[in-house]
Amino acid sequence: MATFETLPQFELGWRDLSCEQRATFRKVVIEAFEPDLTAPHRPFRPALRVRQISGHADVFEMTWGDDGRATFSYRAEREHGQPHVIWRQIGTLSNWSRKLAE
Amino acid sequence: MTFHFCPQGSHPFTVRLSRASRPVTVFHLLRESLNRRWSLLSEVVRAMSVTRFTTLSLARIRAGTGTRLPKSVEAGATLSEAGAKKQPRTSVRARLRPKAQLTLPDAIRRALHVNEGDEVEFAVHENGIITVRGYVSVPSDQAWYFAPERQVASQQADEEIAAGRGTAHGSAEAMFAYLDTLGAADDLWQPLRSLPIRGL
Repeated sequence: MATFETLPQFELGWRDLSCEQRATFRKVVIEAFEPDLTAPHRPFRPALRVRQISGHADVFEMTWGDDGRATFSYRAEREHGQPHVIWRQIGTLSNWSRKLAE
Repeated sequence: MTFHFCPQGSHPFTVRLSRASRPVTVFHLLRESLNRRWSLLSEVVRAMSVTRFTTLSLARIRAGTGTRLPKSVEAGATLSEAGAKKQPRTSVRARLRPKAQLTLPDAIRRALHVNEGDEVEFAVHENGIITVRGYVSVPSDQAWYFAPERQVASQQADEEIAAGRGTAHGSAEAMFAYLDTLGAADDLWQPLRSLPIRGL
């Protein structure tokens, strides 16, 4: 079973999500992200669009909704043989664009 | 001329002033930028490159913004005086090979934050100073990550990791149980559990 960590930055973004967005993220993580994460060679399904952020070797992005994005990093295992993921940021492109325009 | 600012309650940042910037314009833009933090910083830098600059009392900036400034500036120096005293943080040499080929020294490559496939821009200024600026190639669908606000958030995330400020969870379920305590009740989760998600 994979272990996780949430940063204050991530929790800040989480509070900004609507109930529906939180539910979507939860469903995606539990039903798709975690199973792929713990499978050998981490074969993330294409719909998750897990990719390394350009120029940032240890930061990855994943898509959890139409415009929902989250970034994460891997860190040393907390449990033997199980990946440890640190969630860095979460939000939606439309929310971020709106805040930038304000 | 490059200046490093350390605003209270925000991250340090660097502003490059051209000789052509007008003091009043710079002052107001800086004040507005610092008050509203990062969202206007790119506009400030862009604006400074097209306006005129002569001499600006940094004491005015300090008084107007509550900004912590470098020691040379706090002593009452002007922007131009402070800039003139600044020494390069890194200085390395490289030898040109045939056809003017040059290998970017590692320290400079790291300072420019560029990697294979990225671009550098050389600019020769009127005062004889030649500057190098790195341009990182970013896939258009990752542009959101490189917006100033997201970069600040990412930097803060790095600092939080370094400081060990994360909250650890033994499983995804445990993580969501914790997250549920942070904000509004997640009433929609139960009805949505049985719904398929497109593409998964």
